Amino acid sequence: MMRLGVGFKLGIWLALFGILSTALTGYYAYSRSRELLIAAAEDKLLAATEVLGQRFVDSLTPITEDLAMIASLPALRELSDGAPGPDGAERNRARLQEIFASMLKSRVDYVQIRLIGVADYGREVIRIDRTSTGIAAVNGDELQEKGHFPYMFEALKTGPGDFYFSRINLNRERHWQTGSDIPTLRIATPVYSTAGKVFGIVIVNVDLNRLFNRIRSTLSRHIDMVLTNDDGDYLIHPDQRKTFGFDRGRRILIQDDIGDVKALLQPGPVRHMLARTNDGSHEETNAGAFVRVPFGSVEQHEFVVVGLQTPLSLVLHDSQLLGVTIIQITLLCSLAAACLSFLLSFVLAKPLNAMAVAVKQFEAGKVIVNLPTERDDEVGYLARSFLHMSSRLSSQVGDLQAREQHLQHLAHHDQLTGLPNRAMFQQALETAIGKAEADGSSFCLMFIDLDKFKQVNDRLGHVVGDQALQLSALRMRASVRNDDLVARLGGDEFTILVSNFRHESDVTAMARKLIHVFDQSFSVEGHEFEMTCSIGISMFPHDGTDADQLLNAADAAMYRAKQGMDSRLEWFSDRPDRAT
Amino acid sequence: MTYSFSVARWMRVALMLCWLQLAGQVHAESLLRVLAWPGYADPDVVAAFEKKTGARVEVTFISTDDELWSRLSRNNGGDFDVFAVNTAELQRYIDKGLSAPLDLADIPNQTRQLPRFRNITAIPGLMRGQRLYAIPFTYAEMGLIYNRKIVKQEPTSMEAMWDPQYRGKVLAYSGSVHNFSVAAMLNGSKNPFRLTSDELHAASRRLVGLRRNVLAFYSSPEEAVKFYLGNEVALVFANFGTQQVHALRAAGADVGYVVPSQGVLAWLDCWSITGRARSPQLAAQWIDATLQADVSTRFSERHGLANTVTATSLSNASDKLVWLEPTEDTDKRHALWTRILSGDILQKF
Repeated sequence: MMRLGVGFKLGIWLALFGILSTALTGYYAYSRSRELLIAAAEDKLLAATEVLGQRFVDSLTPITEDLAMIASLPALRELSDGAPGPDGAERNRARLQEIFASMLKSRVDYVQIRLIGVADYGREVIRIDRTSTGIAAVNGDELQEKGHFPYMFEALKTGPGDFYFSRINLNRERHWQTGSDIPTLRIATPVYSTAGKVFGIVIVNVDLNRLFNRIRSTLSRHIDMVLTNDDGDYLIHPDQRKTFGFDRGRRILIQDDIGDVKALLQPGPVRHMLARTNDGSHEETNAGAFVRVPFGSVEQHEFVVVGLQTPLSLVLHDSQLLGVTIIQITLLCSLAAACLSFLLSFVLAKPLNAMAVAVKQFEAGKVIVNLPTERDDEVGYLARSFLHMSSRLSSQVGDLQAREQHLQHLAHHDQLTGLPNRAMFQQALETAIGKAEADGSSFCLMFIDLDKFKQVNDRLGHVVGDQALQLSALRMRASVRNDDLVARLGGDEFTILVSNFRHESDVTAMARKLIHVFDQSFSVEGHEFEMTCSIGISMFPHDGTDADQLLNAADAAMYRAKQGMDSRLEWFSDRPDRAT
Repeated sequence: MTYSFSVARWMRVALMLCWLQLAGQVHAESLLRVLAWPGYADPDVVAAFEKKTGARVEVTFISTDDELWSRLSRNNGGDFDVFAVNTAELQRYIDKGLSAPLDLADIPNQTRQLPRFRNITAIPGLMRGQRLYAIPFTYAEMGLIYNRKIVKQEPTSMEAMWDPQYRGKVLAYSGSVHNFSVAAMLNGSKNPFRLTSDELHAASRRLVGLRRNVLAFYSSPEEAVKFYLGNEVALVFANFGTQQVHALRAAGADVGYVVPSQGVLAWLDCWSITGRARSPQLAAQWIDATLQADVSTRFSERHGLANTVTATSLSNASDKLVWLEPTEDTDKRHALWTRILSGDILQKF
């Protein structure tokens, strides 16, 4: 129980701690990487938007080059100079029409190329349209007057070799053959005669949808593009209904959808930005990048805002993969941590268990083994301390036990002779009575008194008297069987408890042997003297059934023996088989 | 036992429903839902009205005629109590029953309006049969703005826009409907809103002439200001009325404004009560409140639009105003105008 307890609990806590810390680390790693992923994706989006903006500006250059090329064509020069000959104009028109048509064919973004003269209220001179079926030249009465359009009167204000960039709007002019609702950018350059007289303009209409579809072709189809003018009106938007609101009498502005973009529209240092958007056309939040892209001539201060938006969920797709990986790693690490924890707890608990076992052994008084005393750590120190403490405890307990035994001995033995004293004899007597009553046996009690001890003691002194008593005890012990109990009741009175005899005569024989032994003289410290003994014997149960009766009976018999002249041995009760 | 219990329960539910309905009505009576153009129900006006009547006012703004129509026709007009609409547009609301007749007795301030507006029978479109459907609130006449630096003599006629001396210096509006009406008035057509095919044809040819004389056609007041500032402009057709005079002057232009004596087109915005108004009484109170002299004057000062109670510096009681009416065929005018604007030559008309 104890073994399992410590190890198991420690293991649980360690495992919990390990799992918790792994999970926390995993979560932190996930959220941080998620942020980094989003930031990286947004940076990528911004970079893509910047590139798209730059591509837009770059894509305008070839258009201006085309216009410059047209403006420098000899046929156009001849046409503007009004020379040569009556059908010269027709010939040059035809030639220019051909050139315009082939250019329109090769440039997919162009929807219209025109030469517009200042004469006749800005009447078109040459006009080539891209129609739904191909390239078509417009002739005769179908050529229109365009003098009232800003692209005409504004382009005429620019100098030779300069370019006019219109505001981007929907072309609502009739004869528009490719359909309406096309965001159109018009780029124009003035045409002058050799004499330097203004003749008109050459103008290209560019379909921005086509242009942006071309330059954004490398972008993922999940990325939506928006384009606004410098006021924030949508020109291109995934939801086409939002575009060109101003052409329909209701402005729909990007700053109303994404307030932050306002900073891009105002003059200021902000020229690109990131924004999280939710424009309502998508259920989910988008990550968006927006860039202000100036284009055209410096004086016109024209710019558009290009924006790329992608659903945040797509950006987060990678982070979800990452999340799954991190969860897997976390689970594995947690498992490893749990295993390691239990292993560690086992290793840690082992010496503790050894200590516990040692304590039990100590309690049981057994020899303490297997203590991890050799360890060079706190556990080893604890083990060594415990061992030291237990050995000290053991020795002290041993001392106590010895002392107790000694006290016991003192309480039950006569100091002088080392024989059991009266108290112990009394106990032994009670025990013997109990035993004899139980098995119906009998035993004898000898009461011995040393004759003339008083005289010896008085004449030769206590020291000699004491030694005489000690010698008497030795003689008595030597004369009885091992089973027989010799005790000193006090003074010169001794008793012997004799059990296990076959016949009372054996007891009588034993007493005679004793008397005979005491007939030998004593030699103590150079003094030679006689010291005989008298013996009275009582017998259980015949002479008494309790200790006092037996003792008194033996005493009385001894007294009789002392009085007697011939015999110094008397049984308490005379019986023929007890011949003395 | 069970039966009586269920009866008691049903009675309780029925009572509760009745109570809810009553509560709803009480609630509805204290709420006025206004559908109007920006500026027509400023917060202070709304607050004052709420304080006076104890009702709550909910204002919804619209910015185009189309939006007004779509919002009001949704739910058959049940979403609003009172709305602002011009006389020409009003007609289709009356046709559909979205506008309800109103009682002049509910609008005492009407008697304090300028004489031109007090005389409701003289304004076409307000009445249908013997019933009055709207009360004029604000108007704008489409006069002529002129650049004082270029035009020394105040123009006396819209004809000035065709004057070759201002060629390339005229700003006209790119809307189709009004242009034909203006051209028809100059052509002497009897009703500029009901043109015969010949009159339409003549007006078209006249508009080609206008096109050849203008710098450009603008579509918003802001665009007009932009054109004015970027080019030499002598005349501006004020499609948006005196608001444009204020806008140009605010931009630093030294301009005059004239309402030629042969008359100019004018739109007139009125208040009308919806056919499904919860409380026509409260709606009438609102109309009356906007016709208070101080409210109307403040409206003009703030938003640059003329009001119908007090005269402004740019308006004269003698100005001949031709209130806009629905035209004979809007689509046809639009199609013709698109051709004109696109630059079709005169021979094609």
